[in-house]
This record gives sequence, structure tokens and C-alpha cells, in this order.
Amino acid sequence: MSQRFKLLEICRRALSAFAVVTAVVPIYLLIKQAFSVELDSFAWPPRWIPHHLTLEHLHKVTSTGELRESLIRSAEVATVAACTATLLGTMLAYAMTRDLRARRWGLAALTASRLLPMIAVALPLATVLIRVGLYDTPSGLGLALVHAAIALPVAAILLLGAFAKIPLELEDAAFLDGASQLTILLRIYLPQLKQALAAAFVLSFLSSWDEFGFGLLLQPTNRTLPPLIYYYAVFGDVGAASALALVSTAPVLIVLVALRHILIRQPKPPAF
Amino acid sequence: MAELVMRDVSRIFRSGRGVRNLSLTVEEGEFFVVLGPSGVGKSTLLRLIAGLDTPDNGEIEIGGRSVTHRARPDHTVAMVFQNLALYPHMSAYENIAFPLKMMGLGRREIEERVRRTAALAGLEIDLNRRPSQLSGGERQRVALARALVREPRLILMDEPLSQVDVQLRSVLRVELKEFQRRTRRTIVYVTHDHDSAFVLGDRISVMHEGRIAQIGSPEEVYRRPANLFVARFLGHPPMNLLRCQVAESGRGLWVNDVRLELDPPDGESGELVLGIRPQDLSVQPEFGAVKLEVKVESLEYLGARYLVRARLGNQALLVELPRSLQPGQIAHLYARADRFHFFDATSGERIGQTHDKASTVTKG
Repeated sequence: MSQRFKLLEICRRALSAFAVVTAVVPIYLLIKQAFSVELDSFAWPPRWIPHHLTLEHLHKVTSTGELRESLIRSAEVATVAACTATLLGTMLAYAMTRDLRARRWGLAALTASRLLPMIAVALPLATVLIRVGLYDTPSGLGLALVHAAIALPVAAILLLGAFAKIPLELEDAAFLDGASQLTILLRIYLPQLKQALAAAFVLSFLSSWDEFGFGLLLQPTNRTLPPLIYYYAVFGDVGAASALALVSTAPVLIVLVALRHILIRQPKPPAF
Repeated sequence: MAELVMRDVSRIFRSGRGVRNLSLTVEEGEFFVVLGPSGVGKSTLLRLIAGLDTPDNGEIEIGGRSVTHRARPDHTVAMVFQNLALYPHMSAYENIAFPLKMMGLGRREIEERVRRTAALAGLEIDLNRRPSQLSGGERQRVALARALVREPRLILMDEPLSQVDVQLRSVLRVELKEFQRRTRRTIVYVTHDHDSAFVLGDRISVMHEGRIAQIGSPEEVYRRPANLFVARFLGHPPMNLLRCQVAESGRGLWVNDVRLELDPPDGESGELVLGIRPQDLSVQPEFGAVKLEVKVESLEYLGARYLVRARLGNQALLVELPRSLQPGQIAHLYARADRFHFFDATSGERIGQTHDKASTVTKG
């Protein structure tokens, strides 16, 4: 083996090791802390293997009112945000495939909205939400709308790609075949957009589920999960924070498993 | 009975393209081809007939009923699209059944009609397959079956054969013509390919810049092009078009400084455009009485024939010959007087015997 290839091999291994360490170690630590007693977590020198396992933190998370509430709130916010972003994104993408001007302006607007620093719009947004009575509500609707707005560009651009693959003549053909607008949407477009809709929904859901900054600012008392985990960690209950963080990964897994058939493209038999 | 009547129909887009003051009549059971280069308004015409677009002006009638301002298409018109527009997520069966489902028919009747129509369209495949699993020809037939299944009065086709390869195209073309002859459906077929137009059409309408340049049987438009556009557009290699002057005496023509012993139509004087097809010229004197002295410039070998590029006066002339000539040589070509076409130099319209039927043109 030449000198160059050896160097390449070393770099490759180093990179792999780095990836494993940065990805696996935090997850391991998270799991370990979620199931070990407080003393183990703070032991010095740190212990890689916990000495005493416990379900105490997990139990606390599921039984404490505040934690359960914020878990449910986060799920609600993410669901509403994902539904809204996907629905609006679909409408936007449809308009953009039909109308060249809509496409130009739409893409410009979507890009521009992503360029703004989020923190710059956070305060004005809080003011608006206070005025319309959606600030720090128990349902988290205001935050959900903000999350939908953040997720909208990605959802719309993702769906635009899917719409672009559907020839316009398909709609004309269905129209001539006697289909109504609703039938065209439900029976012609929807079946072909399944994958993109699922992807848009999942991405919007995750971006909302994981969002910290706006959650912190817009829901100071009726908290969502990420700020709550932060509070617990800051105020010293690392075990509960870890258990909560572990629980927060569950919906992600559930969504991914539920939609795996749609998200993973099935290979088609070849045409000839 | 006239199946489709369009009267003075206009639909002009902001780009200036579209259809202008167009009138035509398609008879029941006729295979009517609309031929023209791309961007000439053919697809617009078809969309207007289909009801996918509404004319700015004019009237459209199908089967004697005005459909100009229909809110949605009825069951009288079906269309086969250029890209076929098969629903990719449905099987061939579901594709064909879709229009019937929209009509609200029962499952039994749908099944019966789908099977019958599939057979009529020559589909001998497993109808449970999806479009992506079918060959090009099979997809064509599924699209045809979907258009036929509602038994429309009028079938519109927007170059459905343009996306299959040349060999399959000629097979499908013959099949389609045979199908139409058998079933006597009224078909309006749009294409830019004049081979398809000639093979398929009972009548051809040649379009130019949103208007109809000529309507006639394939023989008529080929043998008696009504204007320079049609003359140039039909036939390959294209017709030779030469600027010429009528001699002072009114007999004979001058192509630059070369005199042709060919009489212009009666009463013409001044400048004309003279047309002759490359196939209507020969090196054999017995071929025709009109003699042309040309200078051979170059040759292209086409297999069965040679394409000779020559000069008459200082104008280019293409000739198809069965044998080769020497570049640089002076050659004598012969043509029959009745194979020459005359066009007005300014308007481009045909001069002389325009409305005469093909009877004056002897076959040979």
C-alpha cells in the first residue's frame, strides 16, 4: 500500500472514531444518567458503568404534573405546527407549480424569511402574540403557529419538488375525464404526494419538537419540553432532565417507525 | 353531418401566440390532422375544442350543440395527451376505468366496458400492471382506451406518438389509422410531423402563426400548396423556391440571367416565385419538356438516391437523382411544365388553378 493510501486510511478511521464518539457517547451518557442514582452521576472520577440502577427518574417524569403537561403540550404544539406547515406548504407549492410569477415571488419570500436572524423577530412576535391573546397559553397555540412559520419554507420547497414531478396534463386529463377539483386533489395528487407529505410532516414535527429559543421566550410558564429540560438541568436535577430528554426521543422514533413505509422509497420494477 | 364546427375562433395569449380567426369544419367519422411547426397554436386549438380553455371570440359547436361557454367538459370529447398523462399510481385497468367511475357507473358495467374497450384498443396485457411497467406501445394503447371508454363523439390527440421511437411510431401509426377506418371515430390529431399527417389524415389543415394556411386532402396540400408557407413546410427535402421575372413578351421566365422556356400563368408579369420539388427534376430528356441548365456544386449520398446541390442562375437548387453527377459540371435537368408552382412574390399566395382539384395534375 502506498504512503498516500495509508494516510487516507488513517484519516478515514480517525473520522469514523470521531463520529462514533460524538454520536454514541452522549446517547450512552444520557441513558446512563436517566437510570442511575444521583450519586453515580456526580461521582468523581466519573463512572462509565453505573453501580446502582433506578427507575426513579423515569417515574418522576411520568408522575409529576408539570412534566407530563409539558410533554403533552410539546406533542400538541409539534402536531399543530406540522399539520399547519404541511397544509400551507402544499397550497403554496401547488400555486408555485401552476404560476411562474407565484414561483418566483414564493421562492424569494421563502428564502428571505430564512435569512432573518430568528432572535430579531422573536420580540416583535411576542408583542403580536400578546396582543392577539396567544402568548403563553396553556395550549401553546401561539408557539405552534410560530413553529409552523419556521417550518413552512422547508415543507413548501420539499413539496414543490414533488409537485414538479407531476405533469400538468394529469390534471387536465382528470378534468376531461369528469373529475371535480376535490377528486383531482384526493385521487390524482394526494396518492402521488404521499412521500413528500410524510417527509414534510416529519421534518416540521421534529423542528418544532426540538425548538428551544421561541419556546423559552413565548411560553415562559406553560413550558414545552426543551426549555423544561434546560430548567431541570440548570436547577440540578440531572437525573430527571436526562429521563425527560430520553422520553423526548420517543415520539421521534414512533413517527419514524409509523411512516417508514412511506418515507423509504420502494424500488420499482424496471420499465422497458 | 359536421361533427365539429369552429367559426372565427380566436384565443390570443399575452406572448402574441395563440389562435386567430380560425374557422374549420370536421365531418363525422373523419380523421382530421392539424399540422404545423411547434408554437403555431395547434395545442391551443385542441385545448379550445376540449374545453380546457375558452376562446376570446368565436363559436365552437360539437355535434350541432354550441360548447363555446361550457362550464365543464361533457362526455362528448376525450383527449390523448402528448405525454399520455396516464395516472402513474393507478393500474392500466384503473386508468381506463377512471372516466367511468367519474360517470358514477356500477362496478359490473365498468368492468364490462373496460374489457371491451381494452380489446378494441388492441391491449392484450395484464391490466393490473402500472404504466411504469408497460412498454411505450402498451402505454399508447392504454391512453387510447381511456379516451375511448366513454364513447366520446370526438377524440382529440396531441401528438401522442411523438415520444415513441421511429420504428414503433410507424407501426402504431398504421394501427391507429386502421382502428379509425374500422370504427369510423371522429379524430382531430395535432402533429408537427408531416409523415404522420400524410399517413393518418383524411384531410390536413396546415397551420401558420395561429391561422390555417391550407385545408385539404394530403394529396391536395402536397401537390397544390396554397402558399409559400405550405410549399416550404411540406416535403423533404423542401421544395425549391426561386425568384424569377416574367419575360417582356409574357412567355418564358428569367431566373437571374438564365431563361426558362416555361410559360407563366396567364396575365402575370413582373416578379414571381417559382416552385419545383427536388423529386420532380430528372436528367433524362424524356422526363419533361422544360429544360434547366444548372451548375452542380456538391452531392450527398442518401442511400437510394443522391441529393444534388446545384445552382440555377445564382439561386440554390436541390435535386434528388438516382445517379451521381460531378461537382463543378454543367448539367441539364428536365421537368414537366405542370410540376412547376407559381406564387405571388409579395403575398406568397399560389397563382393559377388554386381551387382546381387534383384532376389536372397527372400522376407519374
